[in-house]
Amino acid sequence: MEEYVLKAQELSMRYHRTLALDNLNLALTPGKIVGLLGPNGSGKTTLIKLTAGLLTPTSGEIQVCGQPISPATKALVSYLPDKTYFSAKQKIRELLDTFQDFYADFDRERAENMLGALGISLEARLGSLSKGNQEKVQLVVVMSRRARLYLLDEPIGGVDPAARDYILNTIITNYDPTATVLISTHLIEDVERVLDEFIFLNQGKIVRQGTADQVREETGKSLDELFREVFKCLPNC
Amino acid sequence: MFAKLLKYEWRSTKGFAWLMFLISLSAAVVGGLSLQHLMRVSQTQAQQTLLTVMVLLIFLAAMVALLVCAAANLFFTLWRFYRSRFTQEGYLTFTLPVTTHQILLSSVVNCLLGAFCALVTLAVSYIFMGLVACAGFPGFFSSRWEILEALFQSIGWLFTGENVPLFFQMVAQILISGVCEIPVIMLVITVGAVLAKKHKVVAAVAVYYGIQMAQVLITGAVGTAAGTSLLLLDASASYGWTLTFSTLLTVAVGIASYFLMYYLVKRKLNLS
Repeated sequence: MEEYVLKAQELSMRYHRTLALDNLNLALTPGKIVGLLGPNGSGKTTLIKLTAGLLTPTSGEIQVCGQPISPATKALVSYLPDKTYFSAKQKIRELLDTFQDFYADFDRERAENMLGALGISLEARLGSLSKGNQEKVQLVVVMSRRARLYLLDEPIGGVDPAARDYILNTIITNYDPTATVLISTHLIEDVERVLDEFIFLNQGKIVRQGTADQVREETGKSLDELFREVFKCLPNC
Repeated sequence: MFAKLLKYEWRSTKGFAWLMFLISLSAAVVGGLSLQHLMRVSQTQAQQTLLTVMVLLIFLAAMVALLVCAAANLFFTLWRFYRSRFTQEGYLTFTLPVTTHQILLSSVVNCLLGAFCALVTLAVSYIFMGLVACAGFPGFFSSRWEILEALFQSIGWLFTGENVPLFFQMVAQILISGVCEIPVIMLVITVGAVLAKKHKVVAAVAVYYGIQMAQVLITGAVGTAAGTSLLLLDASASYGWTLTFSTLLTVAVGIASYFLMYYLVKRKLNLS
């Protein structure tokens, strides 16, 4: 098995005059749930998009399982964006067909079981579901893959607390323990119970990173409290 | 993987293609029946009545409907290209385990299929309309071979002697232009979606007309130079040379459009 599931070296991303990521260096090992935490505009989504292959970096390198971003790495990465990316007119069954066609690691039976448990018919069109159910469908489909790296961008933003609990429980119970889950969010209080490690990101740079247990032992604080403390002191938060 | 992409693309457009086909056939039936009535009126030299005028309007509406269905087929595939690449659906498309070339080429192939479906739908509808119109004249089917022979004789000059190479060159130019126009249209959609912050449609239209104007100017300049320098050749050879250059320019613009689109999607696209 590769040493790192995600490795970024001197990674920078510039949008016109805005430097979204600034010489970022990062290495994630397999088998962890990592929180990518930071305020709005800190570069979380940019890092996730670069890893998913949606953006090309301005400079630097990024690798997944030792390979540069390519169709081969996209086959290893399961990505959940912060918005619905399926067509509203598609039936749920057609979404499953698409994932089954393109991803060899897609577990269709698991996806159908989870959707059945939610009471969602495979013949329903995605647009006919509520926003919360649409997000659950998307999450189910993404987490039904046996990927090496899961990228979840704001998975609990914009849903009610009950839905948040469902989403977090789905993440914990369905991801492969040898895989890595990278969750980007600014709702730290809800997410911290599932995190093994954290990365604080601000203005495209890593401000602090470590394990959640380490923080609690050394400081006696929760991640949420530490986040508020760290970002209170930084400019432009 | 490319075959799977094509299947995925076709799945999202085939429903609309079938719908346009059915609407076209319906319009062809209406048009055929209208034409049948008009042919009867002209044969019997009956007085024009209000009914005849209304039937004429229905016939014209049916003809317009056929053209609209054909255009709608092509526009829908281009709209699907925009939607699946440059809106939220792009998050799924560009994270599939395929290369950017495969994504773009599948769109080109799907658009060509859409254009082909539009042409087939139009041709079948017109033939169907003609058959429906002639069904009211029993003598037509018994003398169908004589009618076809007369029809071929009237256009036979296109297939004889020195006109043959020029005719086939023109047909080739039309086909090649049609095929190469697809990546140009896809490029302008990409430019509007990727580079324009506001007024994306206006930007796309402006770029399209810019490309067309440039092509016309270059072809015109070269054609004038060819006509001046090839005075010793006859008009047919001079025109043939200009047509060849125009075809090559169209192919070059089509290929350049594809690679420019690839660059914009690979380096400049940021879905948000």
